[in-house]
Amino acid sequence: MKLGARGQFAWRWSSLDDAAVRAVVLHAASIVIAVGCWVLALRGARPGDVSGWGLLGVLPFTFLLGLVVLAVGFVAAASSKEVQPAVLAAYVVVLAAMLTATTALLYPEPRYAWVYKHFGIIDYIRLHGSADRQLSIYTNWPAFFALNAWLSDALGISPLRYANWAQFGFDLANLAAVLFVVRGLTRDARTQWTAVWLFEIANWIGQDYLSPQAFSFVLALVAIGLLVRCSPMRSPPRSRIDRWLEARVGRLASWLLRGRVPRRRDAMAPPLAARAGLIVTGLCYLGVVLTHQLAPVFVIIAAATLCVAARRPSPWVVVAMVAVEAWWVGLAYPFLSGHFSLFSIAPPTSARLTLASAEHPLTGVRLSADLSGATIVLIVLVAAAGVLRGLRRGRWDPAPIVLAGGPFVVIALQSYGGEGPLRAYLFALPWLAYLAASAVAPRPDAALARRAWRLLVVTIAVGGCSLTGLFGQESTNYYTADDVAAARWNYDHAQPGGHLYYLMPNFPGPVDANFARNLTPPQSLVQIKGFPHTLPAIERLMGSGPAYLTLSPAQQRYALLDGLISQPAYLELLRQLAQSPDFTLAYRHGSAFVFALVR
Amino acid sequence: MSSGRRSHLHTALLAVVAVSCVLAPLLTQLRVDSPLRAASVLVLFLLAPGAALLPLIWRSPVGYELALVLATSLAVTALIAQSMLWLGAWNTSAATWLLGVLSLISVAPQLVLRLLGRAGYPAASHLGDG
Repeated sequence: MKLGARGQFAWRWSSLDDAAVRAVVLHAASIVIAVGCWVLALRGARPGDVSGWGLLGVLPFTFLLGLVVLAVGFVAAASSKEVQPAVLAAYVVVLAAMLTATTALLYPEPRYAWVYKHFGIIDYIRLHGSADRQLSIYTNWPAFFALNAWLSDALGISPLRYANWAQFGFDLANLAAVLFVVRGLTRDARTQWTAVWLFEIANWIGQDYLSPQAFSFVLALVAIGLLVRCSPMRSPPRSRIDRWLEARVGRLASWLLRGRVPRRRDAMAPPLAARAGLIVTGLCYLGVVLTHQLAPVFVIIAAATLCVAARRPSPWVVVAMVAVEAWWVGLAYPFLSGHFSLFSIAPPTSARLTLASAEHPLTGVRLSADLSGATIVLIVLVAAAGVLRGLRRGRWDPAPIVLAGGPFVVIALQSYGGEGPLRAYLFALPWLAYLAASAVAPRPDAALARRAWRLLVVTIAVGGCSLTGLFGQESTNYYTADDVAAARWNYDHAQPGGHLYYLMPNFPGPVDANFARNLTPPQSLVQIKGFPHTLPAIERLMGSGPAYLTLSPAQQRYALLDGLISQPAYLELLRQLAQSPDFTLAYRHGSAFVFALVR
Repeated sequence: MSSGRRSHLHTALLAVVAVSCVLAPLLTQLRVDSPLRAASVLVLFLLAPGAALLPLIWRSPVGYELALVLATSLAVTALIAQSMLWLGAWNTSAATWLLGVLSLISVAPQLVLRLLGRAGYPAASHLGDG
C-alpha cells in the first residue's frame, strides 16, 4: 500500500511481491467467476421441463461455462511450479458443489425414485425401534437406516428434507477418502489432487445419494486405504504355493520393467501404526458389513489381491474378513434364500429399463447413454497409459493395478440385478484415477504447454462424457410434491394386499413405515409385455380385487422422454379413467391421480 | 501449510468438537429448532467419535487425516445404532447423550493439554490438508 499525492492509500498490484500470493488471488478470482456462472445458471434453470439431454438441456449455457472456467483454472493451478494444495482443494470442492449440489438447490423433492424406499425403512425403524428381518432385504442390513433414524431425531429434520444434500455430503466424503488412499501411493501433492480431480469428473454413477452403498463406499475406501498405507509386509513365503505366487509376481514385474531398476513407492508416512491401523480397518469393515450386501465383497477382494500381489496384509486379515461377512450373511440367509440368489450371473442392464424398447426417444437420450459408457473406456485407457509411463520410469507398484482390476471379479459372481458392472467401476475408480493422474499430472520440470495440455484434454474428454451420465436422465429423476403425496397416499390408504400399478417405473417408492402394510411389489405397466396403456388393456390386466393405478407428473415426463406415450395419449388415458365406471378417483394431489378399481 | 498453523487448526477443531459434545445432546433434548442444533449434531456424529477414539489407539507425530476421523466416526455411530437394534433398546435421546459424553471424556483432556502447550501430544495435523 502506498500513500498517494492526495494522502489516499493506493493499492497496487506490484505491492503483491510474492508470486504465490498473486497466483492465489488469480485463482480465487477464477473460482468466483465459476461460482458466478453457476449462480446465473441456477436462476435461469427450468428443472421441470423435459429434455433428451436431461438437466444439461434445461440449464443455461453459463453452467457449462462455469465448469470450463473451473477446469482451466485447476489445470493452471496443477501446472504451476509451486503447487498449493489449498488452491487445488478449493477447485475440487467447487466442482463437487456444481455437480452434486445443483439438484439439491433446484429440486423441491428428493432426487431419484430409488431413494424413497429408504425413507420407508428409516421411518419404520424410527417408529418401531426394530428391524424385522422378514420385511425386506434392507432390514437385514439395517445399520445405515438405523443411523439415519437416530440422526433424524437428533436433528429434528425429516430425511426427506436433508436427502438432497446427502449427495453433496457423500461426494465430499468420497473425495477426502480418495485423497487418503492416494497418499499411500505417492507423496506428490500434484498427483494426489489430480487423482482426486479425475475421480470427481469420472464419477457419474450417481451412487452417492442417501443410500447404504454411499455410506459403505466411504468406509470401504478408507479400510482399503489403511491396508495399503499401514499394513506391514508379510513374512517371507514359507509354503510351496506362497513361494510359487511370489515367483510368478516377481517374474511378471521383471518382464514388465524390461531390465529397468525398480524404484520404491514414494508415499506419505502411514497415518497409524500397524496395530492401530488394523483396529481402525476392522472398525470400518464392520461398518461396511452391517450396512451393505455387496461392499464387503469388494473389500475382501481388495485385501486378497493386495495380499498376493503386494505381500500385504497378512492372509489372516482376509480370513477374518470372510468370516465376519459369512456370519452376517448367515443371519440374513433365511430371507435371502427365499428371495434372491447368492450367486447370479445376468447381463448388465441400465437403470433405464425401458430405453432399449423406446422407439422414439427424445434427441439426446441414446447418445447420453452411450457417452456415459465412453467415460469408462476413456478413463481405463488413460489409466493404462499411466501404468506404461510408470513402467518406463522403473516404477513397479502392483497395488493400484490389482485394486483397479479386482472389483470386476465380482461381476462374474453376482450381477446385483444388472448393476454389478457400475458398482465395480465405482470401486475401481479411485485407483484408475490415480493411474490416470500418473499419466497426465503436469510435471514441474516441463514447459507450461507440455505441462498442461494432457490434463486439460483428459478433463474435457472424460468430463464431457461423464456429464451426460450424471445429468442426462434428470427429466426422470425430478419429483414434485404431487408425486410424493400420491406415493404417500398409496401406502397409507390403499387396502393391505392391494395391487399397486404405475404407468412408468420411476414412480417414488414408499415414503414412510406404512410400506409394511403392503409388501406386494408394485408393477409398472411399461415393463409388462405388450405395455397395456389403453383402458380395456389396463382393465384386463388389473382383473378384480383391490387394485390402484397412479398417474403423476414424473411418470408423464418419463413417458415423453422415451417416446413411450405422447402427451395427447396420456391426457386421453387420464380422461377415460376419470369417466370409466370401473374406476373411481381415490386420491388427487395437483397433477397426480390415484384411481381405484371398483369392480 | 506450516506445522504451527496446522497445530492451531487442530486445536480449533478440537474445541468445536468439544462444544458440540455438550451442545448437541442439550439442544436435542430441549428440542430447540435452530441451525446451531443441526450444526452441532452433524459435528457430533461426523467428527467427535473419530477425534475421541484415534488418539487413544495411537499418538502419532504425523497427525490425523480428515477421511480417517470421518470414517472412524461413521463406523462408530453405525455400530451404536446397530447396537440399539440388537439390544432392543431404541432410545435416540440417550444414545445422543452417550455419544456426547463418551466423546467428551477423550476430547476435553486433549484440548486442555493443547491449550496448556504440553509436549507429547500431536504437534502437527493434516486436518487442514485433507
